[in-house]
This record gives sequence, structure tokens and C-alpha cells, in this order.
Amino acid sequence: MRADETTMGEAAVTARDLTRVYGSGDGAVRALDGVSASFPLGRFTAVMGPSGSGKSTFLHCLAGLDRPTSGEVVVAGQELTRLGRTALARLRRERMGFVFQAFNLLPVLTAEENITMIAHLARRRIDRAWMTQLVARLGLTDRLAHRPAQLSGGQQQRVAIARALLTRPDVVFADEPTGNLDSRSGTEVLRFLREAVETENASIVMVTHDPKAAAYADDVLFLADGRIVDTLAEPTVDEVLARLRRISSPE
Amino acid sequence: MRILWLITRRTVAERWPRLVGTVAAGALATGLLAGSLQFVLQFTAAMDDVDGSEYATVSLVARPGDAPVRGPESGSGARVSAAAVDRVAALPGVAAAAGDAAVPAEIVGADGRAVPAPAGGGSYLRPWVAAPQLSAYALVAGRAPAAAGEVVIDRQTARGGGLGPGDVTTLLLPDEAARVTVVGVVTVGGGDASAGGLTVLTDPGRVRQAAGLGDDWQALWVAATPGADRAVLAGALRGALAGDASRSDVWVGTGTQVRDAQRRTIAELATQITTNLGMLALVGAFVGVFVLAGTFGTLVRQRARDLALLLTVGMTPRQVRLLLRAEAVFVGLAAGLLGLVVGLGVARLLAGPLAGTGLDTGGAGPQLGLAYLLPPLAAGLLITWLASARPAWRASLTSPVESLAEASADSSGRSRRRLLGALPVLALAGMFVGLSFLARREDPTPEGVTSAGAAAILAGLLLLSALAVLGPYVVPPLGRLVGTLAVALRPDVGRMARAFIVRSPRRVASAASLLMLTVALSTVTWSLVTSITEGRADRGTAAVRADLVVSTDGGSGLPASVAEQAATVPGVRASAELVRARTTVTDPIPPPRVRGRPTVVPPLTVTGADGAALAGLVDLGAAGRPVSRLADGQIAVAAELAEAYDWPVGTRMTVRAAEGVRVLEVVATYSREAQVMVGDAIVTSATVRAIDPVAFVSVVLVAGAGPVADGLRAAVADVPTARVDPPRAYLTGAGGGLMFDPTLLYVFLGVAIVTALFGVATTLSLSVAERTREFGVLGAVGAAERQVQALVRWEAATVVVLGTGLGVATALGVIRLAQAVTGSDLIAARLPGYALPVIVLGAVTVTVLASVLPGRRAARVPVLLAVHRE
Repeated sequence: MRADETTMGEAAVTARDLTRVYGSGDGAVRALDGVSASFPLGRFTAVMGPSGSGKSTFLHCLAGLDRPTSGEVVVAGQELTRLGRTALARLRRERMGFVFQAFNLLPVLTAEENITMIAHLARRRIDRAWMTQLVARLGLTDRLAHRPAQLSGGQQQRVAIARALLTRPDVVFADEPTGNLDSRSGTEVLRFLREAVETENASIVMVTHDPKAAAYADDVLFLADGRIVDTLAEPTVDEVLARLRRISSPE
Repeated sequence: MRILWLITRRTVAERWPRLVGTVAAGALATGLLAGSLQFVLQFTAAMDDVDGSEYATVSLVARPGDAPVRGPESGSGARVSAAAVDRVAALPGVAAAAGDAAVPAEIVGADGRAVPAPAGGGSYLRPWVAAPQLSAYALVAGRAPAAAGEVVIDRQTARGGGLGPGDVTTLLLPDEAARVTVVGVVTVGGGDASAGGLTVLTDPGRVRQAAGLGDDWQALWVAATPGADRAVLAGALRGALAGDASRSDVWVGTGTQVRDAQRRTIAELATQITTNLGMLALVGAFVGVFVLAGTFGTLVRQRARDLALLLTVGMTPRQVRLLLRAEAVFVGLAAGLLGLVVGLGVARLLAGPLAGTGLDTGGAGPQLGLAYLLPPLAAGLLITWLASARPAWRASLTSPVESLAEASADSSGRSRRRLLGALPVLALAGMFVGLSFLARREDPTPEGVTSAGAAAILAGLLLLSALAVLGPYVVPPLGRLVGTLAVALRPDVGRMARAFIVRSPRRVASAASLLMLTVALSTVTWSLVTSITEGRADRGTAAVRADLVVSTDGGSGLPASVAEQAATVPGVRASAELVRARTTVTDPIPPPRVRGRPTVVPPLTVTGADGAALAGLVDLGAAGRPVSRLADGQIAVAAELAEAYDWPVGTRMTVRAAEGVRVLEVVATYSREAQVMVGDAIVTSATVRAIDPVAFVSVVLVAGAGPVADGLRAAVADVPTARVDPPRAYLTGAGGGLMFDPTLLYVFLGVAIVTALFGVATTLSLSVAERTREFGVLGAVGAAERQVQALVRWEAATVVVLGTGLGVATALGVIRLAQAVTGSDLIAARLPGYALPVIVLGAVTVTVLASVLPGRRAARVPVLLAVHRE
């Protein structure tokens, strides 16, 4: 652990004054407008907001998939905006995990190969015991030799979660992980993410528009028009719904 | 229908960058066809341009023999005497009569090089015709020749050689290299030159001397008085000549008939060129269909989801096919139009090597008529139409749900349909193999062997196609090998690379099959050219005992006086002059081997030489003794031909050449080693002079020590095309009697290879493009750019291994087959030592170049675009 990491305290990801503007001149769109937030280690945070509120842009900037126009993001003690493409790629495969709405598994690889892919890219030894445990918990033990096309949507997303967690990243970014799933599969996925936070002390940042999904988180950040307009700790479905209504129709 | 048109238009407009490679490949393939066509058109136009004729004002021509023009088959030794010319001139209805003779001659231009003859014509020395009623020559500069050392040239010679009145230059004649002074320039029948070639005119006596005619003429020209009945006059002419000719038949016809005969000869030549070029162009078209089928397949696969959507919302499979075929038409038209431009370039490339063989297109510029514009466009359309057939069918038959389903964008490409598709191609290849053996057995003459060889090559092309279809089956085992290496060398991406290669073999297969085609074509051609050239040289040098060979680089050959001079150079221990004449054998012709098809004996190159001298300088084996005592009336024949046409020792052969017929007795047959050096048959110098008095000396064989070469060079300095070489260099050189010009082959092969390489590049880059999303995901989860590039590189490595391996293997198979079929040891897998490394290195370079850029692009795929599917 490096010195600067300890100075960051308990935050897995910190964003300071993030702004992201798309386009220029009259056509410019300010997707993020000076957002600052800190995501503590070992906590599950949901980011919510109406369509166009900037929640996806926020996640992409946090994960180094998109570059903010101004402001900074610190992950694992490193300022993302200062990193080159290769360093950023290295940081992503070593310190972050990803779960996408569209699963994004590689069709030519089997489930097992998809899961171990990042370890191979990082030239890291695979923690077999952890892998076995992870796969068993996700109910994928007898699915490892299958290719994505032979798996159901829920199973594919569970493979994606295993892929994200195998390297024990500092933070897992989940972008609408239940968006493409039926409610039963969605619930399974959320339960598993929750379990990872409780038993493995994982840190998760999840963008969702589903109040039921948000209710699995420890904290909820509400975004509107590119700014954080509200926060909520220990959320329930009803409370999340109420806040969302308030944001959508300000008095 | 309007929606189909709209989709087609938009697709082409939006996806044109991806179509560039495909269009370029199509353009090159059609460019080969267009280029051949353009060359033939320019050649024909060059002949039409020169429509002047020395016969323009001639009413009647009389020539002993039975044909209007001289040729190896005319075989008439009869001449027209000066007395007969006088007799004819006195006939009623005759305004003027003059004797005519044409002697092959080359005039040296101001640049020191022989002036090249135009389009299929030769270059001739003819008598100046003084009678204005008969002369088609009109002076445009200078005056008429008044002495033997003075010449008048036609305007094309003047222009081509930079010559004019007052210039002194060298005229190469069969008997000597004469110093002559140009005194005038003429037009011929109103044209710059005769349709028959270049004309040099001089004093009639000098022409007769050069032609060895004594006081006689080869033919008689007559100008009729106005109103004279041609038919009556022709009869009178026959009567006047009847007692003169040694044989009774005299051909009498009008000047127009002679001109037509000249034109026919040239038209036959044009047909022959068209056929030869057409065969080569067909290989180009084959490569084109091959390449385009590959790239169309990839393009259609990339759009599988769009097409599935269209099928889902109710478009019929037929409409989908129509849609794709419409796009193919776009590409075909674009390729055809570009091909027209490429064709002009190809024609220029062809003009170079072909001009050397006498097929000069002269000053004829680009021919842009409909005859040029339509065929390449049609060919472009046909090629793309054929190439798009399979991809369009496949696309229209896929189930929409399958294509729309998540993560099913990829398939192995292995299917029963593919296997079934390869079967008929393999069967056809097998059939051609069988046919080639059959052709060889039925007809062992050189002609039969040639068609057998052609069938073997066709079988090879079909085998290549079948292998390409079966590619997805071949890729996994080989891919695993490369993959194992990848895992060992790059543990980080190796596994993934192996998975990409082994589980998605179609992608690798389509690029590899094009590379295979390229490698196979280059290996076969290179190997054949090398084995034939070097094999011939091996044979020839095995038999030859001479130290040096004096010959000419193209052109007619050495004048006799120059050859004699060479023989007297100090240090020359022994020498033999070889005079070659093209002859036809009219008897005995073996009975037809294939029913209903008479045996055709191709023209024979007969060498006239002093038998004793020749036997001392060329190892003739058992034939050495009879040849050294060779007498007039005897002939020694190459054993290979004697066997093929059944001419054993003792056979009496009838041999015809331009000026005579001889019945000769076969006294010996000699080895094929000796045949390379001395030609198809040997007769005495006197015999060859008797049947072709105007033949040049083609080669002088010389035995002598090292410094002799310089003396020889000095002795032949008057002949610009003369060269002095050791035997091997002579045999592999331009004058060495090789039957084909490899340059031409290289032009076609070069363009075909570039076509295929466009295909490789397009397929590789498309295969990367179609995985934008996958690479993007890799980037998103943390693959470094270098790692993504490494993935692409390993895939490229598999393409190289597969393409070169299969290509070389197939090439060796095809050569082995051609060898078995033709039974010739000249056809062998024989490549220069550096050839394989060059081919492999070439394949590596192309593949790396073709995958570096797409690899870079892949590594920089914006991850957001990739992970978020619209």
C-alpha cells in the first residue's frame, strides 16, 4: 500500500468537481456540472436519477472510461486524469471490476475463460480457491465450459460478476446490471453484489434507474441535470421512489 | 422496392470506406481483362493506322506458287525471270511491269539501335519502282536511290529511327551489314508505312543480290492500262509466265487480294494474342471472384444484425438477396469503371515486353470506344455478381432470431453445407486431373502435352478453391499449433488469441485462403519459369562444347558476312554458323490419334550448318558421326520429335520453307540436350539456303580461349543487337530461344497478386472491424493497447502460417501433377534458393502491414462505444 493511498482515508473512489461537457458552442451539453463525491471502501453505493441526469457519464468518468472536461478522479490513490491510456488500462484491470448492462462477454471464450481473462491480461496468478468459491456461490460450477451463447442472460451476468470480482478489485462499477434481466435473475444478481460487500468487503458503485435495485445499496446518490441533488443512507424502495418523485417534479 | 433502393443507397454511402478495398480488388481483376483488351485494340488500331500498301497502285500480281503471300508453307522455289518481266511488259493492256522481291532487313537508327518494326510486321528491303503507274511510293523528302549504296526509307522508319536524307547508317541484310546512305523518305500508298511492315527501298540489282535471286524475281507486278479487262489480262499473264516457272502453278491475283491476304495474316496474329492474353486475364478474373467472394462474405456477416432486423420486420429472403445483389452491382460498376483506368495502365505495362516480340502497338494511343468500355464493365458486374451469390444466399437463409440473439454474432463457419459445397469443386478438380492424364495418353505430341498441362493447372486452381471453402476445417488444428506458441510466448494474451483463432476459424480462413492463393500462384509461376529456363539451360550446356555463343537479342540475326568475320577472329579454334529457317513438314504426317482430329505438326525450326563443324562443337551422341558427314538431301531430327511424329531413321520427309521444298532422308536422331542448342532438325547450309535464301545466321558457336570474346565483340560491332555470351548465359538470355516471354507472365501475375493482397488486407481489416465491440470490452476491462494489438498480430501469424503452408503445399502438388501429366523433366518444383524465404517474407510483410493498422484501430476503439450497445 502506498503512502498516498493512506492519506485518502477510507475512500475507494473520490471525485472532485467533475465537469463533462459534450460538444462546443451553442450545441454544448453539460452532462456533469461540478460533481464531487467520495465512495467509501466496503460500501455499496447506488447512483440514481432521471434519464439524462448524467448518472452514466458520472460512472464512466469515475471508471476512467471517459475523460472529464475538468475536475479529478482518484482511484487507489491515483489521479485518473493524469494517466495515459496504457496506465489507465493497467489500473482498470488491476484495481477495478466492471459489470455492464449488456454483459459484454467475449463470445469466443467459455465462461471460465471469460472469468479468468483479466487475470491473464494482468499476468496474475489465478487464486483457484477463490475462483472455485466464487463460481460455486454464483451457481456457475457446471456452466464453466459453456460459451456465452449457451447461457441464459442471468447466467451471463453472473459470469460477468465473477469476472469483475476474481481479481478482488478496489471497486466494482456496475452500469444498470439488472437492466437486461427478468426480475428473478435481477434479484439474484443484486443479492450477490450485496453479499460481496458484506462478506468480501467489496466496494461497489452501481448506476440504476430501478428503485428496487437501489434498495440493495448502503447509500444512494441522486443526480439531476449533472449535479448531485440529494443523498440517502440505508434506503428503502418507498423512500427512493419518494425522492425520485421529488426530483422529477420540483415544487 | 423503393425502400430497397433507399437502403442500398444509404448503405453504400455510409459504408463506402469498407468497400474501398473490395472495389480496388475488383478494379484490378477487371483491369487485367481491360488491359488485355486495350492492348489488342491498340494493336489492331496500329495496324489500321498503317493502311498504306506497296500494292496500292498494282493492278495484278503474279507469283509462282499457290499463295498470294510468301510464308514457310508456300514452298515454291520457282522464280520470275527478267525475260518474263520484259515479255509481260510487252503484253497488250499492260501499262508497266516490274519484278518484286522482299528481303528481311533491319536498318540501324540514329540511336544505334535497329528500328523496331510495327505491329506484327517485319522490316523489308525492296526494289525501288521507277514506273509511276506501278509505284505506290511517293517521295516526301530527298530523291530516288541511284546506286546500290543508297536507300529510301518510309516515313515511319524515318521517324522511328531519327533518320533523314543524307544520313549514313548500317543496313543489316542476310548477306552483309552494309553501309548505306539515306537519300529519300517516302509514303507507302499514302500511309506512313506498309501494313506488312517497314520498307527500305534501294536499287533493284542490290535487292536481287541480297535475295540470292541472280537475274530473277520473286514476283511480278503489273499495272494495267485504263479500261483493260483484268480477267483477260490475268489469263495472258499466266500464259506469258507458263514456260518460265519451273512448276506450272502461278498465282495471279489483284493487288487488293494480296493486301487482304496480308491483313488476314495479321488478324490471325491478333486472334492468337487475344487468346493468350485472354487465358492470362481469366486467371486474373478467377482471383477477382475469389477475393471478392471473401470480402463480400465478411461485409455481409458484419451486417448480419441489420439484415436479421429486416427479416424480422417482414422483408422476404428474396428481398434481402435483392438488396445485397444491388449493392454488389454498385461495387461491380465502380470496380468496372476503375478497371477501365487500370486497364490503360496494364496495356502500357504489356506494351513493353510485347514490343520486343514484334507486337508493337506503335503510336496508337488509348482506344476508348465502346469495344473497350463495355466488356470490362460487364466483366466487373459478372465478377461481383458471381462473388456475391453465396454470401447473399447465406444472409437470406439465416434465421432472424438467431442473428438478433445476444452473443451469437460469431460462428465457426463449419457446416454441412460448406462440406457439401466443397465436394463438387473437389470432384471437378479430380475430373480435370483424370482428363489431363487422358489427354496425354491419347495424344503424346507436344500439342497434346500442352493441353494436358493446361488441364493440370486448371485442376490446381479448382483444388485451391476447394481448399479455400474447406478453410474453417483446416484452421483449428493449425491454429492450435500457433496458439500453443502464443500461450508460451505471451501468457497474458496467448490463451485469448488461441480462442479467437480456433473457435472462430472462418475469419482466419478467409484471409488465409487469399494468401494461399497468392502464394500458390507465385510459387507455381516462379517455379515453372525457373525450371523451364534453367532446365533448358542445363540440358543445353550438357551438350554444348563451344566456349562462346555469338547471337542477337531479338531482331533477325547476324548477316552472313558478320558471322564469317566472327569465325576469323584470332584465337578462335573452331566455329559453326547456324542458319535457322522456319519450315513445315507436309509428309509424312502420322494418322490422327484422336478420332476426327488430324495430327497437327507445328512448324519446325531447321538449322543449316556445316555438319563436321557442328558435330565438333555440340555433343550429338550417336548422331555425331552421321551429322559430321551430312550431305544435301539428308536431315537429322531431334529424337523427341522423331518419336512423337514417327519419323525414324530412313524416313523421307517433305520439308517446305518460303522459297522451296525438299525431300530429305532422316539419317540420324539426336538427344534433347543437343536439341536445345541446335533446334528441331539439322540440314546442310546449302539445303537451308536453297529453301530459304534470305535467312540470317542466328548463332555462331565458337571454341576459343577467354580473350577471344573481346575480338568477337569487335567483329560484330556493326550489329547493334549482337551479343557474345558463354553458352549458359545465351540459353537463359533473351536470344536463347525460350518459347515464351516470362515478363508477360510476370505482369499478369503481379497484378493478380496485388489483387489478392487487396483481398487479404480488406479481409483482415474487416475482421478486426467486425469485432470492434469485443476489442472495446477488452479495453474497458483493462487490456492495454499493446495487448489488443498482440491479439491481432497472433491472428495474423496464423494467417501467414496457414496461407504460406497451404499455398506452397498446393503449388508443389500442382507442379508435381503437371510433371506427371507432361512427363517432362523441364517441369519441376525448382526455385532459386532465395525464393522460399522471399515468398514467406513477402507473406509476413503483407500480413503484418495489413493487420498493423487495423490492430491499432482496434486497440483504440472508444470503449464507451463498444460497451454500450445501441
